[in-house]
Amino acid sequence: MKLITQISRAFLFCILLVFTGGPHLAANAAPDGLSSTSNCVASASAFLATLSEKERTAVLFDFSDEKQRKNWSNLPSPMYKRAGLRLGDLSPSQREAAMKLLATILSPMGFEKTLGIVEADHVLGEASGPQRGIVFSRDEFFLSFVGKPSSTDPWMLQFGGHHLALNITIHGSKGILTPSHTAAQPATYTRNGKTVRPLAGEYEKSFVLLNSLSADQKSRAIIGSRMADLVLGPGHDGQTILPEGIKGSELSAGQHGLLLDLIREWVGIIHVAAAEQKMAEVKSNLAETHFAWSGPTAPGSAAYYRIQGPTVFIEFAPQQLGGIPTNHIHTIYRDPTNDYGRKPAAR
Amino acid sequence: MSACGKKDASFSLRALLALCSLLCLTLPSQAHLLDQLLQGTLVSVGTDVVTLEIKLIPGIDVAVTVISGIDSNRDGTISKVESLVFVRSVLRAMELSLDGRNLEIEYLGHVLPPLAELRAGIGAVRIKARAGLGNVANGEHRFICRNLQLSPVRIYLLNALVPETPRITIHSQKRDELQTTLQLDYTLRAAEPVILNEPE
Repeated sequence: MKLITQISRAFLFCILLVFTGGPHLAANAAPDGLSSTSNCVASASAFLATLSEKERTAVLFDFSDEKQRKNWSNLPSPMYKRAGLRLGDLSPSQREAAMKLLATILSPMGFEKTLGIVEADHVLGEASGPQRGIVFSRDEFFLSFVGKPSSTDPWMLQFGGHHLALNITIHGSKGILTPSHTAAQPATYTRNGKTVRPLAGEYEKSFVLLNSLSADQKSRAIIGSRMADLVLGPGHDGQTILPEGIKGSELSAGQHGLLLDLIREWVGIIHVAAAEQKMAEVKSNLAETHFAWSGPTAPGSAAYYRIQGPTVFIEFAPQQLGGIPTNHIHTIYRDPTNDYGRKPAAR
Repeated sequence: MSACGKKDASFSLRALLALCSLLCLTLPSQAHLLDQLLQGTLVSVGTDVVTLEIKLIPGIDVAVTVISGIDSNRDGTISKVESLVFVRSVLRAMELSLDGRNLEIEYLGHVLPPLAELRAGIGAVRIKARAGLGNVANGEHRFICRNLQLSPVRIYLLNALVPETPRITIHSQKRDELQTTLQLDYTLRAAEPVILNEPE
C-alpha cells in the first residue's frame, strides 16, 4: 500500500512538473513571505496577460465585492453558479498559465492535492456521466480574483468547483488560506494504473493520532454523537461552535507532533512561506486546541473528526449519505479569527 | 392544535411515510446528497433569548417527495403560504426548555431555495427562529433543545455556538447519539458595571 502511495505521488508530481516547470518549485521552497508573494503576483499577472479584455473583466472582481468573496460551495456546477473563468473555456496556453499560478500560490503538496481532487471529479463524471444536468469534470472548475494581484495591497485568488473551494488571500508577506473546502469523491481511484488518494494524509494520520491516545484520553476525545456532515461547511462564515473533545494540554509531546502533522494537511496547502507562518501560530496555541472524534476507531473505517483551536477549525466528515462513506469525504478549514484575511493586522 | 396545524401535521406524516417507502426502493447513488433529509441546527444562547438557525437539505432521492409534501395544492410551485406552513411544521417539531420551563418558539424568517436546487438534492431550506427566555436570573441554568420528529430518513446535527456575550459560560454540551437532543448547562453572570468618565 505504501508503495502504491509512493507511486501515485510520483505520478502526480510528474504532472506538477509538467505544469509548473522547476523554477517555481524552487521559489516556493524558500520560506520567505515577500518573495513568495512576488512569485504569486508574477504568476497571476502572467495568467491575466493571456486573457482577452472580456475574459479579464469576467475573472477580476473588486476587493470590496463581498458577494463574490463568499461565492463558493462544495456543490457541483452548474447547479451552483460560480463566477470567474471556467477551466473548460480556457485555451491550452491559458490553462497552462492558470496551473502555473496554482502551483506557485500552493505548496507542492497543496498543488498535488488540488489536482487529485479535480481529477477525482473527472473520474466521477466518467463513471456516472451527466446526472440530472450536473456534469462532473476537470473542466468544471473556476478561477477568479477578488482584488488585483499586488505585492502590497490585499487580493484573493479563488479556485473551486465540486468538492473544492480554495480561497487564498494574499496581503504583503502574508498568505491566508481560510476558509477553504477540500473533499473527494471518489476518495480513492486509479489513474494510468496508479492509485490516487487526494485526502490520504487527512485520513491515515487521524487514525495514527487517535490510536496513540490512552484509553482515558480516548474517552475524552470521542464524542458520543453521530456526525453526519460538516457542522460549519460552506455558508457558515463567522460562526464558532463549542469546542469538544480532548484538549491539546492533555496530550503528550509526541501526540502534539502527530496533531501538528495532521493539521499540516490543511495548513500546508498554501505556499510554504505562508504555511510555515500559520503552523507557528497553530503550534503556539496547541494547548488550547481540541481534538474530537465521532465514529469507529479501527483504521480503515469511516469516522468524523474535528480540530478546533483559537485560530484553526478543521472538520473531516465521511459522507454517510450513500455509497461507501470512506470514498466520499468532505472537509473544511477555517480560522475563526482570520477567515478571508479579516484580522486587522493581516489587512 | 388549529385546523391548519392538523393539516400541516397530516401532510408531514404523509410525506414522512412516503419518504420511508421511497427509502426502501432507492439504491445508493453516486451523486451528491442522497436518500436522507439532513436537519442541521445551530443554537445560540443569549442573556434573554435563544436563537435557532436551521438548515434542511433533502437528498436527491427524497427531494421530490419532500417537495410534494410542501406543495400541498400540487400546482408544481411552492407559494409563500405553502412554504410557511412547512416551516412552521418544522418548528412545531422542536421543543425548547430552560430550567424545565417550556419556551415558545417564534418564527423569524426563512429562505426557500429554487425548486430546481431542491429537486437536485442540493437546495437548503434555511429557517431562523428564536425563543424569549424572560428574566433570567444570574446563576446556573439548563437549556434543552429537542427534535421531536424522529424517523429513519432524518439525520440531525445539533450544535451550540459560542455565546456572543462574555456573561455566559457554557460548562457542558450533551447530545444523544442521533443528535436529536441537546442539553446545555451554563452560567449567566451579572453584567459588568458601566463606568462613566467624570466630566472634565
